[in-house]
Amino acid sequence: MAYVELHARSAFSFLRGASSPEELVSACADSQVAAVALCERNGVYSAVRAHMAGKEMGVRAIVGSEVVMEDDSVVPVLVENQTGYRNLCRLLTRAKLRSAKGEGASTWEELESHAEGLVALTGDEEGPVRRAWRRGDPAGAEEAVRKLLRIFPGRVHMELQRHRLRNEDIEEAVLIGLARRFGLPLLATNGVVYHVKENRRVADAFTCLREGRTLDTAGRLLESNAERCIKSPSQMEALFADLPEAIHATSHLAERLTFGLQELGYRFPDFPVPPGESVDSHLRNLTYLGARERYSLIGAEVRRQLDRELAVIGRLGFAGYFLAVWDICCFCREQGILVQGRGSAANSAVCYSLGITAVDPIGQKLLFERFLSEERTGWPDIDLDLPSRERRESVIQEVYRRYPGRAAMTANVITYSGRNTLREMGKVLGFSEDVLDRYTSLYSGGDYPETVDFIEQLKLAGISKAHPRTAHLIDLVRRVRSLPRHLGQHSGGMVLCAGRLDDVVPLENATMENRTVIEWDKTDCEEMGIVKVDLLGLGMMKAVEETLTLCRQRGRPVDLACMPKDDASTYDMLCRADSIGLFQVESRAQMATLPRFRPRTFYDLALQVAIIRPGPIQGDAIHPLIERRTQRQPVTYWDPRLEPILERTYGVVLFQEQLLRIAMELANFSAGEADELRRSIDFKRNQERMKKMQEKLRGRLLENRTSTDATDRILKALGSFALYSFPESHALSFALIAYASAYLKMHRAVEFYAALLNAQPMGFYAPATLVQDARRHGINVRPICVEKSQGGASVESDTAFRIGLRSLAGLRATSVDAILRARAERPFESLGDFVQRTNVNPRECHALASSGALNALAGSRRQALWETAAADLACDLFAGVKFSDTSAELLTPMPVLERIKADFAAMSLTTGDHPMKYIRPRFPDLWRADELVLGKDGARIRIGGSVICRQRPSTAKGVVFLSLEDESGVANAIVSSTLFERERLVITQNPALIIEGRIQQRQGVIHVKAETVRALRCDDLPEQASHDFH
Amino acid sequence: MMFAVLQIPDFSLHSLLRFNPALRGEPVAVLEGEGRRARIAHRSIEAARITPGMTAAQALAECAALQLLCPSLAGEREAGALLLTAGWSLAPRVEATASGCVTVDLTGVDLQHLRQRIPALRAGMLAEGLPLEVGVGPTPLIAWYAAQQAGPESERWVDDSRAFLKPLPIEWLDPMEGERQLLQDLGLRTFGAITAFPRAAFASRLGVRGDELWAKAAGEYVRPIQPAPHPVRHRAEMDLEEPVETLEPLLFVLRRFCERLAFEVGQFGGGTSRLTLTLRLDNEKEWTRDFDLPEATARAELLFSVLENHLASLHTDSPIIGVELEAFPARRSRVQEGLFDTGLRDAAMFYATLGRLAAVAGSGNVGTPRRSNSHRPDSFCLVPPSATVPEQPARAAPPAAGPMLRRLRPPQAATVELTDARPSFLISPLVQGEVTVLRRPVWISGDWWAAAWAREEWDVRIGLSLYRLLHEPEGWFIEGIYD
Repeated sequence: MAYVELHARSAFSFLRGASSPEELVSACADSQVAAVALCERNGVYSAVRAHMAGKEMGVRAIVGSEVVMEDDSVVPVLVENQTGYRNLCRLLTRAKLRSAKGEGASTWEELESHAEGLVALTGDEEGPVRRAWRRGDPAGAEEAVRKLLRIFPGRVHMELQRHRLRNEDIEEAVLIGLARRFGLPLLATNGVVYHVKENRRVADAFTCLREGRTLDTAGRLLESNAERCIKSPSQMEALFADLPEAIHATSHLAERLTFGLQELGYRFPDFPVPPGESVDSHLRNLTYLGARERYSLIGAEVRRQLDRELAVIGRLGFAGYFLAVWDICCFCREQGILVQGRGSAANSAVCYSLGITAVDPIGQKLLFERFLSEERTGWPDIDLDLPSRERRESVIQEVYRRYPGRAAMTANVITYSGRNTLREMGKVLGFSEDVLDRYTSLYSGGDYPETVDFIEQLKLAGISKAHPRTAHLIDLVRRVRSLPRHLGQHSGGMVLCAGRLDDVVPLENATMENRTVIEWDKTDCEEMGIVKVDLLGLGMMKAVEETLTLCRQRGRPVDLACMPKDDASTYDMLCRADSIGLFQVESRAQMATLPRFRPRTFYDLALQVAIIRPGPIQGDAIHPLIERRTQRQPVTYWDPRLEPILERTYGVVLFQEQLLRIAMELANFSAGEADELRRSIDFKRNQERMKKMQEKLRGRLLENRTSTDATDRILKALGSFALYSFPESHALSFALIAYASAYLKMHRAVEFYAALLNAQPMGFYAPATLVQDARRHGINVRPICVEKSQGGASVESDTAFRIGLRSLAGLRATSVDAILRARAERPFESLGDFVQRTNVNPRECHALASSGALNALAGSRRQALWETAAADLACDLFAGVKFSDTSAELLTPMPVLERIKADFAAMSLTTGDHPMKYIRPRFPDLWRADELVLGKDGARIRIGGSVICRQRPSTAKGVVFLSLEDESGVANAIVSSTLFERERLVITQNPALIIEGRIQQRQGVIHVKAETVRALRCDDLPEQASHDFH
Repeated sequence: MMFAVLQIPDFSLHSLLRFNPALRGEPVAVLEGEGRRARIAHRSIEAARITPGMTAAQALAECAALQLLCPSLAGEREAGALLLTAGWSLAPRVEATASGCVTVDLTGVDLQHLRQRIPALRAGMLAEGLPLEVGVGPTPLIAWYAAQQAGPESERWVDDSRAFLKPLPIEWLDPMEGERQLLQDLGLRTFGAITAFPRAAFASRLGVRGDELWAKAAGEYVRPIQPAPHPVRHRAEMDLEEPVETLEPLLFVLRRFCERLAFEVGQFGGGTSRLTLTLRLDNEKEWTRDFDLPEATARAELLFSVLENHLASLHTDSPIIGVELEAFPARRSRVQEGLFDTGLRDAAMFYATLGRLAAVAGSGNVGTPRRSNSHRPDSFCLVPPSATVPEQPARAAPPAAGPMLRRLRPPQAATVELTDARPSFLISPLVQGEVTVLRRPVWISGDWWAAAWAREEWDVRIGLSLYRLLHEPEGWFIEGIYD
């Protein structure tokens, strides 16, 4: 049998491998190498990717790992059977969990106790045998062989690698001698690090990064040739022509290594059920119990749907999963934590009945098959939205507590991308920090998608194309881009397991305390059938939760479940694009669409939420949808059979479910095939897969008498969906939260704004903008006061709330508690009493005084500053010296602009007017944001203000959208790609801008099309936070 | 008592421009701080839109042609020395108060005469590229405040301290950050606003520092000056920002040195009779030469011409990265012999010889060869010749010693016949015959900087001898013979 490669590393060995697992497997397929073992350094990070790629390309992926030992030697081990895999995972977990992230070494005793089911190789130059020989210790080399044989009796192979290096034959002779002496079989490997010779450059660059060198100084640390690539069996046979047994041993060993990831042994945890119940019957009982609450009367349609879903769930054996998620939701409710399922789970009436989701799928006619079908592989995906931060963390920790050793977060693979790639490769090539800093400055502030090509970007950063190293830089960046850089943790994905999770996949510590992470990302988990529950933190959930609490406390409660979905004033507000602070509809793009789309029903709002997505934008769905909805265009269908499917979206394909129904009804796709189609859309990393599905769909559509034109349009819609679009159920779930936020802003504005501030950071706008918006809605936003403020923002009347003490920068949490505690005991009598009883430090005193928080005790900010100044004199000669005088009378009141500056310095916001109001007289030619409506379309004007948003969406062909805030509101400007590139630094580096351009008015939406941009320089205008992104 | 403060505005900028005449008239700004924390500290008048405190990126956004520079420590040292000398030209007790600022104790100085001398001093400094602001007042601090108000055209004399101090901004009190913030927040913007409060009220709130601030604002703060010691040696030195390969920039620097040293020795010793010039070369060597002058002089042009004449014929094999000039003070009456004596003739000759060799062989082809840190056999770089031959470290014994290879230089071209991609017969002027391959070939390659290279080495036997064959894109060669 032919040679197979049993020792390769991919880039998942982080700086020790220079190709992706897919590239390596593909190279094996091209070279007729039937199997490959990816032995990543201290992990099985690439195992799933290699397994999946191998399945697709006909290459067997063998699981192995390079185990780092306590003496820094590296022992490659290959997995023989399931026991071996379990042992390997446990061994790696043990080493990792006692070490900091990214570190870990096993002891020889641990290796011995986990050796069953594993086969060891003696390793390459880092292996224990060659390391000993190389340091001139032949006895140590012998001892290493003995040790390996003792640990892996009969399962050690003497690894030989021939890389055409001088004197490797001498070392090889020693290894062969040892093998003969100890009866070890010889095994040829190529110690593969990259898939093709050209990627040796990446390996060199990674070596430099690992060693902290540049290519100029790395010298002989780099490889001396490019032989560590995938080689064909014939090449390897020629290389080892004198040792054919070493080649044959590879296939013999591969046959012996029967383990594959298909026998991973993963099982979802069994859910405990009451005696006499099965999980299925328990789920049925709970579902019907919940359905009675949800539907009050369970009609035939509801019963039919529930029975159908329960039957499918039962046949697929997923009942335990539903119960586990229900259990988490129950915990949340017990703790008063808002929870709501998002995503395709909202297509399930069972989920709705169990209280996991909040959208009635029957009422909304949602497609259950989008969520679950018998033909579909893998587990259903239920994502739960939770209030962000502490509340979510408490749920995560509860899951760890309920599933000890059986739960962990999924990983998130951070790849080389963006400007950091250039920075790291630039360093390797010896480019100066100045140049790299300049590049970073130019392309900072949001990683905008670029319209100028990479070479032009380099030129702008001062890296000439003629520079002798520029070509290398470009080549390296291109090769390195999208290779894994390091492993992070997924924002909320948790996997659960019936037995020990470290029998399934190694665990390691996360950077966050009390969190463990598995080595695979969510896609890997999905591929392996590992069930993941996403516990996602949503700032708006936190805000809504707090709003409801505040309303309840103030005696005007709102029941989220009973909130009327047809409140006209709420929709009026949305139609006015009065949406600052609202969930999903507050962005500039949403604001530009709201007055045109004019949502009047809950479903309209779901459409509104779904419309501003890259998918519909790229698919040119927005314009027809708006025009048809407002009856400016007739509703037409590409094919009459599409009418029932697309009726609710005016003939436009907007949701994933619609696409699946088109495939099922016009192309006769089965539910399983439709699901495969959905997965091909989701899997951006596999273009081939998507192309195949597109061809299949095209063929079936044409077979079913669909016209070529309609087929092309459907396929175009499919193509744009690959660029993200929502499932209808997801849009409806989000629309629920969006509506709730809008309703609360309309009817409980004061509580809502207070809660929004307390949920920061979240959303699109900084607190300063939210406060200004609140003021524009007639709310009196009161400043911090040590006598009245709570920790967070607190409501004081139906039209007023007060900023909380926690908003004050520099005031420690312990000081906030001390102030509240002291005040609860008895009111502060004087400033002196306050300082004495709260023990705030001088710096905090100054912050409190300058922000006006002590005005109630001192009269004015300056008097408070004057009176508290002595607090800093603890060790001073004058400490304790009392000087009674009336000098405070000499202090003049703080002018308004100074007050605003002090507010921004202390809280990054002001409760007073926007500072532009006061500096406007210095810029008389600037139009206010609320005056733009008076301007004629095409009129040339100037606007100016604090930049609160810089956005360059990938769908906008390089156009940049800027939002400038002034005392009257927010003015939006459109900057062409050319102007942006010309004034990139001015736009990205200045906190306030003056923009000159022409007014564009379209159906009530006003923009200024920028012609010139310059910095608005004024010391009295404090710098505001800007939300910059793409 | 009266004091004068001499101050160079935008000190780091002018110190830099003084040695970089090409930058005059260009928009230039000096950055202070490291990495991303760097901010604009000073800017030339041509960069009017730039304000101190901007980041580099913000400044470049305002002025794309802006040249951003880092402060030159050597330039500042030189300008500082010149400023001190200017101070000593007025009175003997001079304090180096701060960077670009000296305080002169005018005790015993005829103030009327001083009024006449200052314009000439300012003009002299301006000719050196350093604008000078002069303030005169009854305390060192008031003199300093006066200097802040003086322009490049006229000095500021303070006669009525109270009136003078009242409108001054609090920043001039040099408060610490917290104090400055507090004073600003309190709305106290001027000295007068502070002194409007009772001194005790200030001290009870701001402690000792508050008391001091009040005293400073009232002009009641007096401190003794700490006179700088008179220089024992008259030296000027500078690390050049860019290695100098042509004479012109070096002569520019030396001219500045001569002007400063002549001024300095003129103040103390009357003149100099001997100069020592040291050039620090990029090859880590130093070139030093003494110049004895026929008579002591304080004329900068004369000193410069001596150096210029010599340097015109000097060749160094390496660019100059630093320069140092020392003038030894002497009474002007003293006459010395041996104007053109050379103290280090051999060194000069040596480098001159190297220079001539470099002219013939190319500047990159002279030096001591040293193996490069590279896998490429025979790759080497040239390093400057060492003054002594370093002791060779004991080499670790190779793990398995084979026969020694005698290299053929250049390798002997050969014609090689291949059988199954292995050499089987060789023809060359040196040897010919059947080839027996002894070891697997060795492949070495690289392609980072120069053109990609790759070589294949074969250890073979031909007849009774062992050879190393080399296969490169250019063909086959016998690279060496094993003993």
